[in-house]
Amino acid sequence: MQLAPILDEFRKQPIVGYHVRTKPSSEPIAWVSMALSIRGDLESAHVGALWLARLQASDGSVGVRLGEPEPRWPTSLAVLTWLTWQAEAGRDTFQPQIELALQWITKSAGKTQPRDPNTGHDTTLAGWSWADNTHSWVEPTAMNVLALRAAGLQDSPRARVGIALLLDRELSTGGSNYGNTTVLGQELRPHVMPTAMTLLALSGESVHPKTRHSLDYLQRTVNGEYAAASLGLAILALTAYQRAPRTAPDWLEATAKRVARRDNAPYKKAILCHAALGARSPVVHLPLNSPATPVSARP
Amino acid sequence: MENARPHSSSPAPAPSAPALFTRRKLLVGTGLAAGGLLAASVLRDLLAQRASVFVARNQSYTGPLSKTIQDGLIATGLQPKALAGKRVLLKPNLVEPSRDVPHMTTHPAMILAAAEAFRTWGAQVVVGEGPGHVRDTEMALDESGVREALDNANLPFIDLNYDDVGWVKNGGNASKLPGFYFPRAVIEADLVVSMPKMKTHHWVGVTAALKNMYGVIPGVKYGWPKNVLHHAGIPETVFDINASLPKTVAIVDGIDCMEGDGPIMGSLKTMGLVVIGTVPAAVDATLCRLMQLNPHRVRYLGLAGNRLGPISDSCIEQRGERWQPLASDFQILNLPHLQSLRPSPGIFTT
Repeated sequence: MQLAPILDEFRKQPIVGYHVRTKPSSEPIAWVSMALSIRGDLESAHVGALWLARLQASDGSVGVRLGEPEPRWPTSLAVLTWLTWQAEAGRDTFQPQIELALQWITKSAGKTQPRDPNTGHDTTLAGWSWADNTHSWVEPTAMNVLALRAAGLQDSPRARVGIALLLDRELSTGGSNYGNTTVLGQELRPHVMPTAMTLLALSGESVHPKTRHSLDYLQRTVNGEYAAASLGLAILALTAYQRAPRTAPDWLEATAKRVARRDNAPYKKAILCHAALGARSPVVHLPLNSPATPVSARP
Repeated sequence: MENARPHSSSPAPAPSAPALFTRRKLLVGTGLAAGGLLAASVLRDLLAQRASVFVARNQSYTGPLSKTIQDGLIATGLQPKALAGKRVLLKPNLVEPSRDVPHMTTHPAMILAAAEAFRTWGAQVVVGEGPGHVRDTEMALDESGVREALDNANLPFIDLNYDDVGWVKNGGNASKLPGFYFPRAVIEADLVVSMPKMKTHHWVGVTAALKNMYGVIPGVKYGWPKNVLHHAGIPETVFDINASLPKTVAIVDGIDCMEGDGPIMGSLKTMGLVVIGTVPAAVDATLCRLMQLNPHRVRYLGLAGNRLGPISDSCIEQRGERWQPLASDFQILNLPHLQSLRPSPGIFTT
């Protein structure tokens, strides 16, 4: 995939929304900044990292958009962004923000509840939620595990619970969805994006049989016409396990053209950039070699 | 199609409902009536606790659905001439699409037909959805077949999960939520058209026009699933969302429906129906009856009754077909909270 044209766009304007018509948002800015950092465009990457730093609340959390401090699930992506920039720049510019955000991540947890025979997953595991005072779900948990791994905290108690949750939420036949396994006795269906995020978060662990099934599910499901963001994350996940399809570059090229033709969505293009970066993407290449002194994020 | 007369009178509304709703208490219809989109008679009927619902039978996805939809909207009080230049948002149900389960989501043919109907009347039509179970809306469009339909009809799509938002105060106050973030596309629309699939729901019994509006709530603010709403109470938030958005009409895909373990894992049940109305609560009540379920026992309809519109059969005028000969038993899970939705044995109470 020709990264240069897309990165040129992002270099000129690193502050982006999910779609062309929408306001700048934390998640797409994080993905763009990380891609720019890896490609050496540190000045432009710094613009996005600084935008996230300015959004950070006093408790360390980062909200979804300017003026919208809640929900706070993008905090983990901000940590990944700052760590990536520091690792590439060789400077600890964002260390205070990182430490404060990790403190928030370590303290925050999804709402647990007693086990329920109608619900297949372990509802007592406290991963991370999308919004405060709600249950733990797959993708916010995966994002936070990635952030903790990036900071060298993969063995911290919160990271271990997060990993346990992700394993628990994998479906018996492979794959994950938003975070339900069986409901009222029926196993639900997997989806590519949460499966990919789960696999990325678990890529530092030994491969569980269910994880092997999840990899198989991704390989047989995605193709060159699959939805852009899901395809990009799937290729990243498969790359993390050295199972990226040989046709991945062609798929990404075709998908990038399709996105440009349809909605030119910055978020989708940023994810595709990461997929094209492959093993160099910071969500694959963990932990990040940040020059700062070890962070302390006590449970 | 002949206009059906109302069914014979039934017992008075549930004792917990207020005896009358006044113009101040009326939570729906006023915005649309003020904009001239509804006939004044619709508002008068609502104040008198009456509404009309249109039922069309023997419908298919390859039939003249656009004409059916226009007939239904006119029969239930929509004013076509007032639609010229208005922004109409079609909101289908694409909660968790799968190519293998087409009866889970609103059929693309329904969306195209509705778009054609409104475009013929001069409206600017967009399609919008915020799937509750999948972050990747593009995947939802592809798996449901809606993407191809949108492209063929040159219909713009707004991803409601990631749109810019505005805050609206909770107009229902059944839950503790002070208000809702609605997508800009929804706030700016002159008319929102709830286009659900007719399905059972394993927690609340039925999912139709009112429950479909969960999909206008943006996931970027509420999560996937939209757990903030679940924790605040599903029936309460279904009511509150609809009470906070008083500019909605309903066009229901009741051709291929879902029974059993809805809204995701249920089985196909073909009914061949399209059900339309300008008072979604009344539409949902009629759908319950078509499914052989008692709407008064569906909690969010109980909340909606007399505040979002009438749900008693005696207060709903059937246009098109009468529901009684078309009603068919929808399978529901053998769980107490669902079995209680069945009408009393031998009697269909309303």
